[in-house]
Amino acid sequence: MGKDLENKNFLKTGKEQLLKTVSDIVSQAKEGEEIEAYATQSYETSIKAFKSTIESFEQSNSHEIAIRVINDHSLGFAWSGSLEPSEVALALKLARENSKYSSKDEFLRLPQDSHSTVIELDTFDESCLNLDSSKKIQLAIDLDRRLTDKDKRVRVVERASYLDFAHVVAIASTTGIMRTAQRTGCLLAAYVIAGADDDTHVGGSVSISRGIPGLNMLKVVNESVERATRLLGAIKPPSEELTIIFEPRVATIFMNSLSAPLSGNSVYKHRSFFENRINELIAVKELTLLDNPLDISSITASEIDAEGLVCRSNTLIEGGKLIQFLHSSESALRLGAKANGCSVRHGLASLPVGGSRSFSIKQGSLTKNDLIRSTAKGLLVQTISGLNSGVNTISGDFSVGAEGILIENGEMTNPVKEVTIAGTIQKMLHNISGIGNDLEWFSSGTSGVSLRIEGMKMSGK
Amino acid sequence: MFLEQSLIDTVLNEALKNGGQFAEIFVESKNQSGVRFDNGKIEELSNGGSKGAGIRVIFHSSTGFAHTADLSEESLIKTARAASQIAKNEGVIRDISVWKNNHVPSFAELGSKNDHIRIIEKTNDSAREYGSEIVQVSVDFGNSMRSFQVANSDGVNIGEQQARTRLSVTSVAKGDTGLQTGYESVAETTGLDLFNRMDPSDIGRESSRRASIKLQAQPCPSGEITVVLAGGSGGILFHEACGHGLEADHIVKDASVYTNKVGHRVASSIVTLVDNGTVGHEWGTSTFDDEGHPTRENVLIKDGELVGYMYDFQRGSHSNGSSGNGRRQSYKHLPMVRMTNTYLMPGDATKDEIISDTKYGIYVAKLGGGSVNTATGDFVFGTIEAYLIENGKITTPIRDANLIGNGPDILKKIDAIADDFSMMPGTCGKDGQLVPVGCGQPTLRITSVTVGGTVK
Repeated sequence: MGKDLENKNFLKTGKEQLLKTVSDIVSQAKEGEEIEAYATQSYETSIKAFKSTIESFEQSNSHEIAIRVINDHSLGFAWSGSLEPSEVALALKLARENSKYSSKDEFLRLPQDSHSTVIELDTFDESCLNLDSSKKIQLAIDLDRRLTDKDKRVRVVERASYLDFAHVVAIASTTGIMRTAQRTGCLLAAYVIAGADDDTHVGGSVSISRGIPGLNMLKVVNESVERATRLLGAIKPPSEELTIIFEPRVATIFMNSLSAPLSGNSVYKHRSFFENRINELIAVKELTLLDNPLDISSITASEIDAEGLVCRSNTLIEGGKLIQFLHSSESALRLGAKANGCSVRHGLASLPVGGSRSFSIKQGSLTKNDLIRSTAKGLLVQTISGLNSGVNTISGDFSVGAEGILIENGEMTNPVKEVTIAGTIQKMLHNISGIGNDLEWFSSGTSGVSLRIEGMKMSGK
Repeated sequence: MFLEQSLIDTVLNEALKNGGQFAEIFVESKNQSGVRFDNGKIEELSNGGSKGAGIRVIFHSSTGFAHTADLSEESLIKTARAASQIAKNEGVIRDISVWKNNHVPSFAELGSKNDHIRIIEKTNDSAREYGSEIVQVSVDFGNSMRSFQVANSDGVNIGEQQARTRLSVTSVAKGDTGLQTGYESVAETTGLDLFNRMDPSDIGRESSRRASIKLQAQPCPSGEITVVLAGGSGGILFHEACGHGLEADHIVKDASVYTNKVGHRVASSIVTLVDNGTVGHEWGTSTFDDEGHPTRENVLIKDGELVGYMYDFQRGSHSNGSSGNGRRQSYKHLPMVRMTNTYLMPGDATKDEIISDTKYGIYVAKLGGGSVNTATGDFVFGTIEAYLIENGKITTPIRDANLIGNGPDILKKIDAIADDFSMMPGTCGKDGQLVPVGCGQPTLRITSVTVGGTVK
């Protein structure tokens, strides 16, 4: 297998072609009509290894387009999984038709370009696109072998995979927006099963990087094997109230659950417990939360948001105080707030809404070990599950499955399984009693630190 | 959109030029239409379309896969070559010729935008009118027509059209305890005729009733508690906690608790679990699976004993063949073993008998989403509507909480199954791919489940 020559073409022409496609669409606007075209091209290679052979080798090159049309204060939307001229024309026609049926709303208008200077980010690393396919396969197979050899207690390496992608986006609108952004990424992911029968445990880990040199296979091997094996012999403890310490990977999942209630779109629709709380203390004074898509440590870093507005670093919670929401142009307009470039699209078929792109908690001064040593009775949480059902971002109810290791008098003792930890997001933010200095970035594009929270209810036996 | 037989032959021959035991082309076109009513107005009207082809080549235990949105001969041949990179120039080049296309059309009517808007307004009105405590309602309506053709080097060449229609409502109620949410949905593999059998107003009211009741809800208890699942409320639990472990891809990797357990007692003797892709208009129903095999009824657990697994083409090739469970999200995805409609068969008790026979427990009127670790069978599920059972009576509503447990363990703890039964739609995610599934179960009791509430 050789290099895919199409990758090279993709790099050279992707941006220009996409820009031409979106500007062609926008140029068809009739008088009084607002049009926004959002197009993407993604190239992806995905390789899974199993028992030292290739389980699957997948290559994809896909295009997508989404069109918003606003006619007389009514919005129409259509999208297509193809950039073929006939498909694009159909999408524009359907978006126009749809605008005839939806409700009139004076707040419906496309954002004006603020003409802010775009800070070009170094988010494109060709190293993964240039690597020979056989070397990518070798990375996956090496990972599988190392996982297999690392520890006899690992029974099955269920997943050892390599993935890379290049992603280009172009946005144009009749209100003056005309921007592109591009990024690459590659990752190694592992998932192993240790033990047998009733004492079976899994552990996983991912290393994500802009390019090949940043991949850390050793970390993936060590973390996934450690996570599975350290749970061997886990017990189901009695229910009690205790302190929890989220490992950075878990803390980032918890903080991500704040993206919905912090979204301006949730706020104006009265679906957020943060509504009317600006400038109030919503968390402990030690907590400062940023969304900074300009930090290229984040794999989702971007110069522009999902509406083509220039991204910037936004402080959302500072010293425990709620500063601002994550706004789409629409939510900013409705709430009379300043637009802050926080639009995201939850998939091609979704309209842009305010959301987080690169959450980051301001680091504290304590190491994970400091946090453990100063905890009398606690649970170090390694995994949480059931977030979709267990975290209600409207009411704030929080109840998730957890695995981890009990802490007694500052020492880690028994591993535990099959417990839930519960509270409400509102209370948890006020009960943070320790913030770690171990900031780490994850494949979600957000970072996490060890986070200690008091007064959680653990349900077990 | 279907490809000519000669073009398919050309593409499959190209795919096997480097060798390999099997090649397949999956061509798909999907058009969807959606309306979202939120915050008192029609907020979003959308249409979306996609079409393309995915080609896979199997070379021993390795699979090569590539896809394209361009259905020209040139592009399909290029895609076949990309998929065939996995094979290593060995074996005999075969001359492939597929059968004539066997195509099952759908006659479902999807309706006009005005039809959709009428349904959604009716739903919204009923949800809003439920009470002054309802402060926000959002309604989503969507329907789609998916056409696909799958042809492979074994000669299979079939096509199918699937119409799907879905309506869902979220209501938010406001009271002294803050905001509470309610949810209800209906979804079938059919067109607008769904609403000949189902009044959209009922869906709206049900969602608001759930939100409203929760304003009075008490914090949920914690610890190991007896749980009664209302009929049709929680089939998803058996889908997640047991069904996934019976998918042959997990079995062959020794990554399931059910590996090597056929013939063993895995559940209480009143439990029979079935997966069946042929049930009426249910959400997981289709004539063929996405590999061109007819769907069918597969009994997985019979009277407590494990009798079989679910297979796709690749995993079934070493045993009795596919069980009609090879599914994929779209042409961009490789097929894998997936459930269709999975359900627990009814028993002899009545619902009233089960509740009056329960001294203390939780009655789950509606279970929410969840997830499972297939290697261990450990699951987590949220509740959407639940009550305390005290001295044989359903009493106070309780707030949302997660249930946690172990699938194989729960199956052994089912001690009563009622004679009622109903199904509900769901979306199953596996390895990043989403497919529509149906889940069903009668009212039943589980002697103990860990409930993740906040009070003792």
